[in-house]
Amino acid sequence: MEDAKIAKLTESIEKLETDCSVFKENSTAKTLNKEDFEGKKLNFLEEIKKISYEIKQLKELVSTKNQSEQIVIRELNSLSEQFQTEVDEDTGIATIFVEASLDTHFEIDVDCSRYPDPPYLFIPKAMDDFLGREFVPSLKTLKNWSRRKPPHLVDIFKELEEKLVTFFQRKEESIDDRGKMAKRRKLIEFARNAEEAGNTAEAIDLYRGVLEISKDLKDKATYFKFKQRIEELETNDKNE
Amino acid sequence: MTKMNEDLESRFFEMRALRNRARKKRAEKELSEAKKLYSQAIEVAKALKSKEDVEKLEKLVKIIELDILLERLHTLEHQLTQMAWAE
Repeated sequence: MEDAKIAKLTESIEKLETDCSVFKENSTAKTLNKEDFEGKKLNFLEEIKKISYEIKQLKELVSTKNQSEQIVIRELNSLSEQFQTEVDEDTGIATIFVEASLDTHFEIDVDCSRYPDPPYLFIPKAMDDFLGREFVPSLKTLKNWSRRKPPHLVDIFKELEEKLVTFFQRKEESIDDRGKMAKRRKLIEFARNAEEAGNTAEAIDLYRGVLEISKDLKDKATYFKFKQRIEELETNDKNE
Repeated sequence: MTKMNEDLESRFFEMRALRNRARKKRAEKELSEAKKLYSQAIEVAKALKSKEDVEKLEKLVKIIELDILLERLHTLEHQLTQMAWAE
């Protein structure tokens, strides 16, 4: 029935397009007087309005959501309340923007059109690269999914966000550690250069920097190694 | 996982991916492209014998067809309102 209506509307629009094209030609050829021109133009515009109204009515009818679709929409809307999302109510798919850290965020498409069946998450490749393919399926909310008593969609993303934040915090800490270690390597290099150049005071100062970083990194072995080196340098300096 | 299950899983993924791509095209107002992708998704859903998905996807195609018609009307309306009588 809807198909037949769409076909009929398509036909009406095709006819209208042809008529308008003729009208345009006549207007360009100046074969119409002002009264005819305005009258015809108004008729066309009214016809457009009428067909538009019919289309919108039919669209409303086609778009009517059944009970299960309404549940999906409710779930998606509650997701929108807590996350930045782009929701497509017609498909039951949404894009969720999840912040993992200040400079890392992911866009995850989630297809929940089959809710209360578990949703399908389109995991971006970058996230797979960081966390591995088993990261998302291992989420408790997904793993323990029950169709009879399904969790809310928002619970999946809360858990996912929490795990991502924890992961990236740890990662940033290790990145920070890597930065400190690089700085320490540089200090050792400069300190050795200073030693070779006979600048003992400068070398000691640089080695003290190494001690500070080692303390920060809780790296006892390096700390004691360079503490000993400082003591040796200080003893040598006194003897000279 | 058996081979059959794997095939099924990959067909489901294909359908979901098509539907997701179609959704994005629709959001970008590329309605004809969206319709094409949804139609492809319908074929996959039919092959999967998923009546529910076929119905949902067909509904979406109808909505897009109506949007395309509205767009055509909008173009006509715009052309007409731009026209002015000249002596």
